[in-house]
Amino acid sequence: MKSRTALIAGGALLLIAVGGMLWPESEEVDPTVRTSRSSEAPPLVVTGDDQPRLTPSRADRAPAAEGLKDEERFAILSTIEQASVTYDAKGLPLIEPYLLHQDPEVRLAAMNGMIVLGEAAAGPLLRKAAEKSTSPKEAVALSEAADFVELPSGTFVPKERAAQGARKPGKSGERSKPRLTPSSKPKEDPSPGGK
Amino acid sequence: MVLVLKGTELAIRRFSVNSFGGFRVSPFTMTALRNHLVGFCGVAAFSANALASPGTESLVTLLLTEQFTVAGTVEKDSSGRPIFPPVPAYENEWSRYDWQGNPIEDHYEYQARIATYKLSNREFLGFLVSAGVIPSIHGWSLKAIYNESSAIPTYYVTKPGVVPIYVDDYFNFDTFGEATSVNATGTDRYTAAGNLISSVARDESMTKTDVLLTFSSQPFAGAEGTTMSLAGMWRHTLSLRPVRVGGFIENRYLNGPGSIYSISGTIDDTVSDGAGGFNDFQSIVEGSWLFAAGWPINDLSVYYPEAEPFEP
Repeated sequence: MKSRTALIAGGALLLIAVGGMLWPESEEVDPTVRTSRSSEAPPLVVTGDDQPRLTPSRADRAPAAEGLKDEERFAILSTIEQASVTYDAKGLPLIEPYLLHQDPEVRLAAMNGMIVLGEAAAGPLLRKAAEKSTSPKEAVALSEAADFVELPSGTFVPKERAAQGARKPGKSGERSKPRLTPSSKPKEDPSPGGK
Repeated sequence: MVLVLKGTELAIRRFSVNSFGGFRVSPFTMTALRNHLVGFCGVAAFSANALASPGTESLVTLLLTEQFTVAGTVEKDSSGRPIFPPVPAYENEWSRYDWQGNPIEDHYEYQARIATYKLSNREFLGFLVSAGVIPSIHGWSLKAIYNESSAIPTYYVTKPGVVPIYVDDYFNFDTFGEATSVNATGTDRYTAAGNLISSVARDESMTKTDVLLTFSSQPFAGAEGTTMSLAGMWRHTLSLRPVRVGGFIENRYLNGPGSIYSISGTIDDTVSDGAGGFNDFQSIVEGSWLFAAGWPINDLSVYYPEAEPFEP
């Protein structure tokens, strides 16, 4: 019995020693570096010796194929962002593959990237993705995004906006004849058969 | 030193981290953290890095449509035939005559339609170009920056390799009523001797806030420019997440994905009429703003100094 206890204790000590060796040394901190993903992170555990560890959870044990690692997701989101801020249709093929990506956050970022890019040519790509989407909610969002990107561009510059479509100052163009009413009294028919 | 904080939790958290090099969250702490009232916290006296605050950076996607009335027909001649080249017009009047020149028909028409335009990031950045804030839209992103002691974001435009530009002066964000859902739990485990074995914490919240968002390029009321007044419902999420900072992990409140939805409002444009006066134009706006899930920023003071917590 004592030997079994000693064996367990020895094994535990060995695991602690290996864990200690694998624990990273302190690094230089870049204050602007994005250091962790804000979503899908497990709760934090602080052990008695003030060494933080992440609790093992179902998410940790899930197969890697089911989810992206933080670094992979960050790389994809960066790619989408950089393509979207080209504001050029050449960026569309770089974003399109991610519209149906397995990761919902990537899919959302791709749709938003298309909106940010702002080219009407994104419309057919978004509709195509809507047809293939397995989520009805996302399909609707993609279709609405397609409608949006195909609208003509407005402007935040007042002078340019005022010139659009022959606008009139005020709430709307005022009619010279406020209401159209039928003639008050039809003219009498002068023909012989008329009354 | 007195800090004005959104909740007292932040100060307690910093105290824990800075003083002991570790982090521990008890249920009591989280209860205190849920107090989002502005308060005075004496514990903040221990916080030595108030101007090197952590925060969150989130991409913003504008999804607005602007609609206004435009002419729905073209000018017509006295016999009702469209003139060429076509000139947009709201109304026309014309008559028809018999062979003797007697009027047999009087016609009047008024045609107007609603024109719809999109207002997205591209259009907003185009405005910044026209205002001389950035040289071109290429490469620039619109971002919301949060600090951990305020729910209200600060807006910047960013481009890799270029110092971010503060554009929050164009925005005014007024909040009104709100409703919040919270799931916060914490468990501390101790040895029989009273030593802490582990501490587990989880805190997720979602808040809906009635907001009034104002965008204005008018230096003062009545001056030439634009004022956009939008009302909407702001859905924002906050999560307690582990963030690696160098060799340590810190627990931080990070802003998750969110949006301002059901936006509706009015754009008032004041434009010079070229004769010393001004013309006023009005449009209606609908749509939403989308906020991507945030990325932690370790020190806002480096690139986002205006996003630092306000310190009186």
